[in-house]
Amino acid sequence: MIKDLPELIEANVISQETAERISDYYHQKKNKEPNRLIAVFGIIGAILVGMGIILIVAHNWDDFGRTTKSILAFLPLLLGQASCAYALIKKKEQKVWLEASSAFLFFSVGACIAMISQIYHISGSLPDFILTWMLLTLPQIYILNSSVASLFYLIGITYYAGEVGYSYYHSKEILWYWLLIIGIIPHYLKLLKNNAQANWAVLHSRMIPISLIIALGTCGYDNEELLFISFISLFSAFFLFGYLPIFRKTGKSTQSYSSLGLLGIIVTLIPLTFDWIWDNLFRKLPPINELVMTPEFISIFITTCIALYLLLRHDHIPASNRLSIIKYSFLVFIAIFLSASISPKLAELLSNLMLLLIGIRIIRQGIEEDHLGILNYGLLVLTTAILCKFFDTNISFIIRGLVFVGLGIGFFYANYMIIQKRKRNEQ
Amino acid sequence: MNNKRNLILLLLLVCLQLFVPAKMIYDHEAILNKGKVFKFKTAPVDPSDPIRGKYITLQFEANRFYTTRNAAWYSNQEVFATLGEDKDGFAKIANVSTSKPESADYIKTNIDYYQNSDSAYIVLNFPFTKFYMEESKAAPAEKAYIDAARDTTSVAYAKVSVLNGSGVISNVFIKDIPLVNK
Repeated sequence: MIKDLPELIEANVISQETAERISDYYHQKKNKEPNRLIAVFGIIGAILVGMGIILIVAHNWDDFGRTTKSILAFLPLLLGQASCAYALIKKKEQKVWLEASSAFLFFSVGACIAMISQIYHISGSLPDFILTWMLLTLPQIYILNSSVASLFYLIGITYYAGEVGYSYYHSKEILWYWLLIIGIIPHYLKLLKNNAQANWAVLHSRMIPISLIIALGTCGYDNEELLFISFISLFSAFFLFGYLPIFRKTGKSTQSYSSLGLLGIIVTLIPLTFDWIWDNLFRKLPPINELVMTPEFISIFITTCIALYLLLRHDHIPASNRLSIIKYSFLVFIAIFLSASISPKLAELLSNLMLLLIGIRIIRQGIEEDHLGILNYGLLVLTTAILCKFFDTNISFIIRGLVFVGLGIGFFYANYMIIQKRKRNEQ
Repeated sequence: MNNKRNLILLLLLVCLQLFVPAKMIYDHEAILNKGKVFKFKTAPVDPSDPIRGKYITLQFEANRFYTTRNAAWYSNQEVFATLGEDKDGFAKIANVSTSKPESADYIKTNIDYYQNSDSAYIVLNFPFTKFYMEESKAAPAEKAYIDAARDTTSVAYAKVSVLNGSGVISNVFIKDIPLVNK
């Protein structure tokens, strides 16, 4: 651009003054870029050094005595704390100092308690160790306003949920995860308010839903089938959350939440199109007074309340959006689930119908937006719905073959139509 | 102003981050210094922890306590195991109760399972089963034990200091040779 400026001035396209302003703008922009690069490398460097210390500690230095090992355990911790204090006092304008120090401190806290666990052969479980570590580093997120600490904290508590929820049967410790995840929310909301499109906010917007999905799975004990409702409610909540005004300016985060929500609803519905899930479902469930105290029921209650709140208070999806109907998914699904108490066959049929309708909605959205990606996504959903039904029932090979051929032609035809429409519009 | 508040909060966090590991050291040193030492016969196995490194798991032989049939024991129940010594000087469980013993040395622990049969017994989990070692030494330690186990005259045992319901392993011996030189 700068190279072309003299030519543009000569051709009287822009004035000398405009050229100077353009030139200044690009120079300033150039000066800002190295900073961002230093920030990224600084933070990655601190993370690597911190992780390296953890590994070096894990070697377990037998040759040193208890006292020497204890002193060594505190060294990285003190260094990290001093670095954070320095960043707060002297370098508070430089985010990279704060973030890098915070990352280093995060790992040195873990290294310190790991080393003491070794010295005294403390047999506490891995989840207990992670819990102590995360509780000790949570305040860092707020005091240092550190998103690196917040992301690692999120990874830590998710790992904790996985270890406790999936490895230990019926462990009540999983409740800690739900308390710990609340700890991150104020920081996340602040990030969203500042700029939902900024890198830190986007990273959080990707990782928080993944963490929630992993943790929600741990609520399944004796009545795991009920979790289908929790998941559909959670995904509906994601879908609605993505359309909040806070995301409106930004394409990325909306897409990440709403697409994940939609995809989640579709994936959860797929197994429900089979009859074996619905058969005997209600016969297995305990009586209602026992049911309401199960973790599955509590998870349904909470996720559905959140989805309902988002539906009632923040209904900002433009009416023109064909997919806006998806926002009612959780309510429709609860009705389908309850219908299984009357007839499992009815629930199976309605689930199939719901998946088909979602597929058709997506196809219509694709056609209206003239978007081949969305159109084929919808077709894929439709095909999946039909294929599932196929493996489920004994239909003759001839009919199966014909339906396959029909679906294939459908794919070609729909894509062909869109391309033709585009050509007509261009003309 | 905001920065000053953050600095004070950081100072508090620094204190907390130093206090927790320091308290861990203090508590365990107290057990090692003041606790009574027991020798627990054991078998070492070699697993690994992704963050805290290599360790050997100790499977104690004296983890069974014979009791009566149809008693009210259940898995994961919190209990107090009073420790005693057998004729060879190794630790054994002298009694198990649900309330804290007034005197005597005991360990606060939980029940692994209750075998409710003719000769009913409960199996206890011990709160000290991990012995951390330098990464290169954990696997040879396990092999040394397997070799020693073939020789019926030799035994492997852990020296555990016990105080106020908690225990800290100070070393593990195979044929009276310590695994870690401290």
